[in-house]
Amino acid sequence: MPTFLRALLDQLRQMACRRSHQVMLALFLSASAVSVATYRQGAMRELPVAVYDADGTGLSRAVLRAIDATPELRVVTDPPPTLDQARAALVRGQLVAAVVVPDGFTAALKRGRRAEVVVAVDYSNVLTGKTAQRAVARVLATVAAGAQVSLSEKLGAPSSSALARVMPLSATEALPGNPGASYAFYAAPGFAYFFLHVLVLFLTWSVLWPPLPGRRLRETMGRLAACFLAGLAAALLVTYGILALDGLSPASPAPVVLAALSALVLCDLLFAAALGALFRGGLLGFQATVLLGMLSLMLSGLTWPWDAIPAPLRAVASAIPFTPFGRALRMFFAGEARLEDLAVPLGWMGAQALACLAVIALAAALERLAAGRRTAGQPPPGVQEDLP
Amino acid sequence: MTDLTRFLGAFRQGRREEWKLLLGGRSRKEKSGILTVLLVIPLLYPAVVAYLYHGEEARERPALLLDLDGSALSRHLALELEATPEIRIVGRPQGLSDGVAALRRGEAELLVVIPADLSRSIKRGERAQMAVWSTGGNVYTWSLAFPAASAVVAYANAELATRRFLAAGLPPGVARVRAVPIAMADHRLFHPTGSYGRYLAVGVLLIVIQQLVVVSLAFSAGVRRERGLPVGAPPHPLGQLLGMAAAHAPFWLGGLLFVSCALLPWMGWAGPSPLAVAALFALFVAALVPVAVGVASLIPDRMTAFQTLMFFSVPLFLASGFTWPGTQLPRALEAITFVFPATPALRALRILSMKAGDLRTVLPELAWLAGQGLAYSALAAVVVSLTSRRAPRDAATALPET
Repeated sequence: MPTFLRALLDQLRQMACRRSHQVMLALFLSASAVSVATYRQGAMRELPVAVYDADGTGLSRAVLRAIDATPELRVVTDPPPTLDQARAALVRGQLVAAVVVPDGFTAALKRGRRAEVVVAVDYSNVLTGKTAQRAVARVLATVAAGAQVSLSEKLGAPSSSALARVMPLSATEALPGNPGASYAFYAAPGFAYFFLHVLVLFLTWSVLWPPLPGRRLRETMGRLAACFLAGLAAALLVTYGILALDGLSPASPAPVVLAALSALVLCDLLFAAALGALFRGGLLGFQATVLLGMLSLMLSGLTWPWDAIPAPLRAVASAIPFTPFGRALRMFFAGEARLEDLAVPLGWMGAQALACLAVIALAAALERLAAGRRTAGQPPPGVQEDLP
Repeated sequence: MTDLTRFLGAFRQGRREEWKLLLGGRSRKEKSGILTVLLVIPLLYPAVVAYLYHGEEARERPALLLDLDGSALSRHLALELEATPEIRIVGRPQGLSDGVAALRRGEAELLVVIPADLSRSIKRGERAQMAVWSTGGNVYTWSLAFPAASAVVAYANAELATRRFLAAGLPPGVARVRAVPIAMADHRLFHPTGSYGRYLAVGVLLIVIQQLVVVSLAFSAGVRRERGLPVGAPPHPLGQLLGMAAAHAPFWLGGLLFVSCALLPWMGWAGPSPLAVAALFALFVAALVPVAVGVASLIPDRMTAFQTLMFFSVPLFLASGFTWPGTQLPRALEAITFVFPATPALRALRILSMKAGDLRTVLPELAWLAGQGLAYSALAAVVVSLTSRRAPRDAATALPET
């Protein structure tokens, strides 16, 4: 059997049988599943809100009911009796917001004075704070529009056009790739593929470390090919298993997805190998790989926008394969992309692969040169034997 | 010899050996790499995280504007959009397909479409729609840009309604009030800027400290096993492992002091009481020590230390309730996260870093953390005892490697 194939099969066997690999694969699957399950709900629902209705009119009760009717908020039935206790509940996170409809709210509205509703929102968690604030603002805007329409009709506008006269413009949102603005769709694939990226880096290092100077190139290639196959299998399991179980599947055809995933796995493999070559297979290379691997999600532009990342960190991130993959992911997951649509991120990954190969080749040449010098500096075998 | 004497002897021996391992070795091969782990994790990671989020909020999201109306009103809307801090107009596509293609290429995050009959519709007393498109599905940037576009529309509506009421004969002051009849007095408590950096980075730093404690000890155990040195060895296996932990403790302490007393206050993220935050970090580390000891007793080599422990940090952070509230998690997942010290620590950190500087406010979380510390101490004692008994048996029955 050729060396390449034998090494490939041996590496696959090791991956299946070695306990450390089994634990790593189990943790990879668990981490991906937990991250995906975290966002299963997609959007914030039923956040607890206290409404204090000091007005006690039909309109103020309608405001309370409308807040409770929003999918995002739930009006608690027994709100804290005092403002101090409400504040304590906000501090403890038992409430997300407190809404106060003051006495005279309806009267002010009817008399043509500006009515005010006080909304205190816990902004320590930006996600819940923004959700609650927007939901209350939407309810109040609807109530205000009702009051405007009523006045407009009194001023003689026909009821069919009264709304258009007081609120002539509206902003409609269109997120074709993520219609419900779901966090599951936005965050879960990024996290799942991040774990895949870390897994491939670790798999590659399990071949490279500890370094075996006598190992033939074909054997190393065979073992790395096994890592590629295992990485690709894990990628497909994530895409069509873990993500699909939560109803998340890429909008692009399978060949496009496969191409992007193959590119990521191959680039990760070369990236780890290049770092290994750069640090001459030493521990520092492994530690550098771990460091860059763990930072790669934050620096990728998937969670924090690319233009908001400081330039030096962007430069570092540009060298990590997960960064262009993040761009490709946004394209092939959200919309029906063709291979030519992914030309930029795939080209970027291609450039990274070439750079990694150049580093590996250069390191190998330098190593050979150094070995040659060491050999040249040594006395011939016969002379060595004569030495005392 | 009493048990305490054996414990103290093993503890001192473990600490002494660990110091030698930390600082010993001259050549690349002799060096253990533990010192790198102990220095890089607490210094480099927090520095990178702080640098990454120092801008606090992503502003000026790139948008394309397709103005098919070309009226005074549409130009006014364009100017208003450009004036918001959240949106920056970066281009004006020729048509809808051009705009959508540019979005797909990632040239902008938003496409704002002003329809051809906007001005005419409004003059006729009909409603008009301004469409805001985004193809990438990025909820964070969308949550910044779409409310900004909506605010521009609301402002334009108020202006147009005021004009209508004026035309209907209302006095100017009354018309303005009638155009915006309800005001929302909006109080953003605890974090008025609503910035993303402060909201997120503090929790990430706590997870960094968790990784420092668990990974460094596991890595050290890996080094020892690779070199044939004892880990959790007689006469008192737990004492020896705690001695190893004691050698790491100054670095852990330095790391948590750097994060909680230097970096967080410097970035303005420490909250009402930096001391309370530092105390929480210290309690968290104390609760993690038995976890680290238990894990270290199981780790066979250096690579396994990273291969296994690096998969814990992100899921624990995500499912802790720090960013995505615990009430919004699937029940089973919430139950699983209950056992990890990061969960109560992160929930307490949310309160201490933003809401209250008094540790009494987070007493339930501290009690939870203390309970976990005790439970993990008992578990670590059992695990170490079992592994130390198994180790000689394994060594006796092990076959030579081929």
